[in-house]
Amino acid sequence: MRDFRTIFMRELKALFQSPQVYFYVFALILINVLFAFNIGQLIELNDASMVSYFQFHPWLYLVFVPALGMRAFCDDNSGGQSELLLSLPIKSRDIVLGKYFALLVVCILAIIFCLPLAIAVSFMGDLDWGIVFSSMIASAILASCLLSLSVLVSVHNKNQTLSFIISAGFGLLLIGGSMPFLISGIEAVGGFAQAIARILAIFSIYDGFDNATNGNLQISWILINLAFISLFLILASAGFEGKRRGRL
Amino acid sequence: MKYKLPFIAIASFAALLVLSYFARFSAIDFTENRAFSLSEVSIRTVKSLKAKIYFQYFHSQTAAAENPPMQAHIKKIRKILKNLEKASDGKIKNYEIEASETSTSGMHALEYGLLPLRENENKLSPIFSGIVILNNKDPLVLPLIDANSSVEFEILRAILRLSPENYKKIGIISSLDWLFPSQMNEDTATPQIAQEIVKNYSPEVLASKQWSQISNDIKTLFIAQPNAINETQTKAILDFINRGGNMFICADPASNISRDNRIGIEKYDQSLSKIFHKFGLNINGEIVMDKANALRIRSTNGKNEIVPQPLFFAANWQDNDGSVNLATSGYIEISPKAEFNYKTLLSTSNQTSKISADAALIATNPAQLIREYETSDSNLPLAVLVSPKAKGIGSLLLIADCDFLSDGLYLSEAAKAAENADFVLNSFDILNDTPELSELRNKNKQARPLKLIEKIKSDGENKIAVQESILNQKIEILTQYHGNSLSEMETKSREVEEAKAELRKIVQSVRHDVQSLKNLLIFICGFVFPFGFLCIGLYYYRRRYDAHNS
Repeated sequence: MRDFRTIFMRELKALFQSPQVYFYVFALILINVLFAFNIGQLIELNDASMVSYFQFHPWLYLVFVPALGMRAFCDDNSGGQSELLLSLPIKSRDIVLGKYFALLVVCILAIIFCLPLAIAVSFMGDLDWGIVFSSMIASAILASCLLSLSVLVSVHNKNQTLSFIISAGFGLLLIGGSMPFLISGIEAVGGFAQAIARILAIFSIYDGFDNATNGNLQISWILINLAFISLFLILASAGFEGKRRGRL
Repeated sequence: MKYKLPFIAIASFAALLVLSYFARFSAIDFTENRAFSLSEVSIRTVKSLKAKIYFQYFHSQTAAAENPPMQAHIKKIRKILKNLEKASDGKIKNYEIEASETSTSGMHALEYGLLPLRENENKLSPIFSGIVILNNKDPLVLPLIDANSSVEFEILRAILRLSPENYKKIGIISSLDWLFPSQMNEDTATPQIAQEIVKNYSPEVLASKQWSQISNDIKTLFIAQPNAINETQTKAILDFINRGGNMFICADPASNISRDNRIGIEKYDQSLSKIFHKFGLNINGEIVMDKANALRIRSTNGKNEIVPQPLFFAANWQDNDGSVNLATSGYIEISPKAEFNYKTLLSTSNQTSKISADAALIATNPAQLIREYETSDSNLPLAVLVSPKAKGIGSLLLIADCDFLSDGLYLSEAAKAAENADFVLNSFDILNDTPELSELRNKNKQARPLKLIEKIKSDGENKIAVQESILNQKIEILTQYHGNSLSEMETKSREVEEAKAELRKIVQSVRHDVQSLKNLLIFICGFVFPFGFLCIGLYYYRRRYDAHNS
């Protein structure tokens, strides 16, 4: 636990000492607010709710979370710091979790930045804060899941761009399972693709998010996300451990 | 050992997936009005069931995969049924049946009269969603294909319908033939409000003139603009009140709708006043106008224009934060009596004016009414609930309008926000001492508008209406001008153009106000806060960078 805390604090400090994180949060919030007003029609819908804001999170996370997660190990891999990390007498699990949770703090910080808008909406109408809270939790869970995928991909890649593309691609499959256009597109291929489409539909992490933004946070959805997070993080630890063994 | 971690990964993944399967009906309800949880009244009702009942829920969950709202709706129904089954202590048994049009279960659903939802003619997989409720009596069929309906309320209402003790009887006395046709059932009761009453209660229409007594099983009496009531009938009503019966009376000093339909009577019969006086109430016969909440109607002066008509207005519904549309309504005078509690349910804004009933019935020009308007600063009560402080005597809910019962006044596109039907049903719930049903009915209907935007728009609409009236007046003067002076003609034309320009300016200004507010919000929430965060970050980065270099 102490090793995990050390890595976590070190990573967190490193993240907030670089300007990228601040630009990242700034860009994410600005784009999200612009989407909420111009595409989500927050004002035109005349409804005191934050659905217009949170509905874009899955799609924005498809870009922003891999952008954040791709640096987790790729930086070290390309910068030579991996040698240092690999030689540290710390468990691979603690290194992966430390980096993962430090990045998660950035995501959660970006989610907390919805509060000024929520306060503004609550001044204009009778906002249901329970739904806002549920949406924030759901958003954090979704970001955690996509981030764990990015960390896994990052462990196995030296190239940041490749890591970003692979993470975003797999993220799309995870989210797109409940998108009729994607499922029917895959089904149209026929044969084995139909089975894949069904699996994607079952494991889609979008439906539950949609329900949560209406205030109904499903336990099964949280568990499915936890299943993915644990799978990806354990595989990332295994991958990192494998690298260590390979080096030895 | 080499494969230990991947094995743990797959095992934990599988374990969590299995857990998620078992938890598929569990959820945390974060909504303020507990929209996704069973309410107290539902739990109490199913617990108090005397006989066992069986639910057969025919649904097409698989076919609904391509229709996300219906899929969510079916999931919600399944969850509610599961919860009801759990809360009933074994008195409800729930069976879920996946049905498609070609399957045997689909055929069964069709036999029960459950029609599937088809998105379009060519759709191969229609979606079934409906419950058949079975107990010792005939099966009760409840179609649930409207994704916006209040599912819990619909199911609870069906359960209540199975138990006669829960299904309250309402006596109806009315001269409005259009409201309750003589042959009354769910299909023939034309107005929406009458249909809702038939669905929720067991109504018994007392013959319009001959009735002389009110049976003991009637707990609530609905009196809507009755014919003259004789002494025997008045005594029957007073006896009914004294034995604890409740009344909902609609007494209109100038019924506009019934006059237009050339049926019914124009004024309520004064014989009812004796009953009102018993409760310390009076309707003096004057008609209220409300400029601030005036409904916009199509003008009858030959021009195709929409104008605000102060005789038709949206009354403020005190408890509900909503509104009820009324037409040529009277108002209620209250002389409080010690033995009663008084509660105003509907009231006007504080920009009211009064005219006589006769003048209201012949007033056709809204512009003239607005011009001659004399505003008083009082909120007038339009509907009042009088309940006794001690038990024994019944309650009275009096509303000084009966036109609000007509569909035309609140179901049109322009008046879609009005809640006339809900007001009637909620009033019956209050009188029958089941206010929880009102809460349940409104559970998923609560609109949360952006009040600031609505205010900007409503203020703008009022300004536009005034400017339109000025413009029309100027156009009228111009068209009626027969003089020869070219310069005077040009002046008048210029005035019309100026009025048009002013109107355009007002419309643009409303749009501009909304757009400005939108831009301000984008700037503050999307730029100022995150940019502040960015600046703080860059400042610390710079300081660290300088410290490092020095």
